[in-house]
Amino acid sequence: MDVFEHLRYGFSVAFTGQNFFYCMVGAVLGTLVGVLPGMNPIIVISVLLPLTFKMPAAAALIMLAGIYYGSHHSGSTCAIMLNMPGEPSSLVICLDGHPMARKGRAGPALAIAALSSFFAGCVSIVLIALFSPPIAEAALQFQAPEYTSVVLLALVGASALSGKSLISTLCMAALGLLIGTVGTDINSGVMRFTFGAPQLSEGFDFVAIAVGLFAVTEIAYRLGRPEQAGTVTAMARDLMPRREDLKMSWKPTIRGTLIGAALGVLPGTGPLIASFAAYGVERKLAKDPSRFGQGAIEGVAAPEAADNAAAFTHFIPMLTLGIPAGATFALMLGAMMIQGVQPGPQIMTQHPDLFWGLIASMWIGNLMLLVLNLPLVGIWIKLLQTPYRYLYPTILVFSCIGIYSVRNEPFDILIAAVTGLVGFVLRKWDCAPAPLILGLILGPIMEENLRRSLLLSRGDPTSFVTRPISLSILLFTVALVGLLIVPAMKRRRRLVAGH
Amino acid sequence: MQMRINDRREFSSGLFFIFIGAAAAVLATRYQIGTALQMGPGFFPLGIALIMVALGAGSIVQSMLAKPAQPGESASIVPLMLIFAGMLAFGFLIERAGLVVAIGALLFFACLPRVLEKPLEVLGIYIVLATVASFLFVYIFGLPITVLPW
Repeated sequence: MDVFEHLRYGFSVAFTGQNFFYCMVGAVLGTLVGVLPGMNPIIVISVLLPLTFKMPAAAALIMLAGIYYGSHHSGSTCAIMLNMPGEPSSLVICLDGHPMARKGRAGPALAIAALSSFFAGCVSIVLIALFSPPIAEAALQFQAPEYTSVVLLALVGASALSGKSLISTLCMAALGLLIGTVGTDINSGVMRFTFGAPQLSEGFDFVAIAVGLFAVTEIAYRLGRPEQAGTVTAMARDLMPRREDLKMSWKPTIRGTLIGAALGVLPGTGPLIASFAAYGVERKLAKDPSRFGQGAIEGVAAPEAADNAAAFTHFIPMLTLGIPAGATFALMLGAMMIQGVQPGPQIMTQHPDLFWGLIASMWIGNLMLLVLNLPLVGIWIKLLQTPYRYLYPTILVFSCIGIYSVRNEPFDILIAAVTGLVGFVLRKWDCAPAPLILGLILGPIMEENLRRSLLLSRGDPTSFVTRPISLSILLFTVALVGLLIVPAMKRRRRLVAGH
Repeated sequence: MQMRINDRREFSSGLFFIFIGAAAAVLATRYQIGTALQMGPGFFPLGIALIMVALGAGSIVQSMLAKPAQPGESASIVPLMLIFAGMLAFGFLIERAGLVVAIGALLFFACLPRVLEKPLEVLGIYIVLATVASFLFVYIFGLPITVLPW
């Protein structure tokens, strides 16, 4: 079927009153999340998740997606004005964006950031529309062994690219998998690890765990440390970039878009790596690299484009394979499963309104964000300075109500509180929380596919490496890990040799 | 070979995961393990638990081999305890006394330092949040939550 036909259908879905409204809500919330201190999309998505259960699946996903890419759009506002990244991937924008603001050029910096974001968004949405169908087609060839390998790739990949110790992150993923086994085992009807608690017969409510792990831990951590205020730079009088700014930015924007679109597909920290890579590329290609760090506009345009492009292509694994590329996507996946939408390559054929409606609304949201970020930037700056002591009670109240509302079970609030406790300690030990959520949500899928694979191969575990697709997935996983291990081992060898 | 714990965080987390993995493995054996062909309910948890123990041991080894690491961000545990108490209070009260009271208990604990400093400010936040939350969640979203105790 023609891509344009699909897109036309998608736009008809996206422009319905309800979906358009939720797209706007998502975009605004996402912008707020990127701008407000101490907020990240995972907190907001996990708190809002229970509400999405009452909404139709397409509207829910459109809103959650809007929150996600909206926060990537606006993360740079914080970075430029306050020298604090609103999102981890906006970190690199502080390097040249803030110096520009200090020189009174905050306006052009913000404008170029918004424009390159929009361009990158448009391009990557087109890429999603073009490449998802063939990828999903190929994925339809997948059987249980391939799915098991892909889940393994998602878990290991997300762990490898999280930037922390590989072993401890894999442990977190394993912990998530274990927590996911609590409850009634579908195959045997046996209640696992429930210790007689009836509230656990369905397993842990993943919303409670997500909120505990991300919202509670984050708030507790922020409150436990002295307040780190950033210096706000004076608002530049004019917003419009000069012609030289545009001339110097268009090539970095394109380069950043391509880098971001490619790297965004990788599970784990695609947008983060993409923005850093784009910055590095611009520095290498610049005629005068010393300008970087002093306020080079390319240092804003390219990473911003890469970040936004990656944020969009980050959706591809989830939409085509049903494999979440990160914790936020794992939560979205959980939401879809509760709505009765089976994730996987068949989403495109079984729920075309969801798929193409989402893609179309991404473009609408992208446009809305351009409007939101530029003219309203004064409002966002004011909001940037909201004291945290007003924000965190709000988050806590909304979190508790949200958790309770999933199944009217006070026990879930206890779970969230305990998870927050454990999460706090784990964070002290520098263990990344995202793989835990991934393991929790993917656990049942992995176990089921493992069971089916072994049944198919009559108990032969080598089937995972004898089947070509599964083998290539596993090899890719090993390569991903190797990319990380090798530099780390080289450092260690040098250290030992030094003794 | 010098047995110095160079990375305390890695060591602690390794110990933690060995413990959790071992406990889970023991608990998993209480269920039928089955064979590879016919996976019992205990098969997958046991496998993951054993992997966790192995990884935890790896963490311990790595914590000794790595170069000495900085202690990392330290955070006071007091806010965490307060939030924990607040959430427990919320869970306890929400079905017995309604949303407004539960929010009050939550905020009392979570904002306790501020309550002692500027009680009126917290009162203001409470009134706003209780009103907005009740309106939004019960009136607009129609969640089946009792708002007031009577």
